[in-house]
Amino acid sequence: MQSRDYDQNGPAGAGRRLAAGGAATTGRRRLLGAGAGAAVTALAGVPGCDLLRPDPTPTPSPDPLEPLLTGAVALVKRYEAVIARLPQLAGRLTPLRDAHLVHVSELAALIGRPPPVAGAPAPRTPTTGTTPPAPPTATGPDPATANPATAHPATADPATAHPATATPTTPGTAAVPGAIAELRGAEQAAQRTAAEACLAAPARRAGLLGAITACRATHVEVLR
Amino acid sequence: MTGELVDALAAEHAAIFGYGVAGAQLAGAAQEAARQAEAAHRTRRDVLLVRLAADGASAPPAEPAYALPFPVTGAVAAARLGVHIEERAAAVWRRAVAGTTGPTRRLALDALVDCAVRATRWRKLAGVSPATVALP
Repeated sequence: MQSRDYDQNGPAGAGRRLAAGGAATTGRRRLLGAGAGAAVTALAGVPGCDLLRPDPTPTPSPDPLEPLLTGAVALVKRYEAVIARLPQLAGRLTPLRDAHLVHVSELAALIGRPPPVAGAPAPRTPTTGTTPPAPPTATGPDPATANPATAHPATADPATAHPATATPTTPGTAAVPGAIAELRGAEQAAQRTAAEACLAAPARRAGLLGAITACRATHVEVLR
Repeated sequence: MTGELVDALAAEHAAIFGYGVAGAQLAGAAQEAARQAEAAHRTRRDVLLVRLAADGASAPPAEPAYALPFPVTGAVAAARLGVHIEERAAAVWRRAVAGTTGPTRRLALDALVDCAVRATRWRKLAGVSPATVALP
């Protein structure tokens, strides 16, 4: 067997055979193999020469969605801060906070890392939009005449409810409009950021980023 | 890319038909909102027709009628139909976002956002809470 022959004779044997003019093809291969082996030996022997060693720890470039994930986490914390300061807004703001938690989970899954915030739900299959909406409650406004652009959710907002049902001494009531406006501004900026990410993303990411963009637009709508 | 736009065109045809049904059950500001929503869908339909013609693709015509997801016999049902129309259209446009690039993706994204916002308005009107969904 040739390999055994090579192993037995080594590069020196191959060189002798080539010099003798016999089995030229095999001899060239052996010579090339011998030369490569010698080159490896030579390079390995040069102090400080790491050409043949892999990079010890190549630094991965950050995922382009990291800033969007960081922004989603910031939105969660912003909502939680407002809810803690103005608990009368919890009913109105908690669903919006929860939506951002969903976004955190989905973005983290897309990037391939655990969600960086506690309470984020497990990533789920994106909704298809084919599920019929929940039946309306009887407490909503009369749809026959109301304007959808200005209608309020069925869940009453204590901050804007009729004085007869509101608690006049609720702490921080005067701060409610400012807090809502602050959140609305944050959502508008976040919508723009998500839209930019969506337009620049590969196809497999664009759908989710589009949905996040749309969700933030709906938050702007309900924070009017 | 053309397939997603053809699907979006079919969704816009259906939305226009649906708002014709919903608007007949509404009055006042709600009816005006339905009229504006229908006009928005007609505009998107026309944009798609032009785009598909430019691409040399065949554009499916509107069906004579579409099956409604539930009987629409009053204002509440009409508002729920508005939610349904916009959710269905949003889902189609979301797929178009993923299946397109460049200016066409921008078109799809704008449509997705508009549908999601209108769905939110109709949910509020129908008394559906919460009025938003995490992933329209």
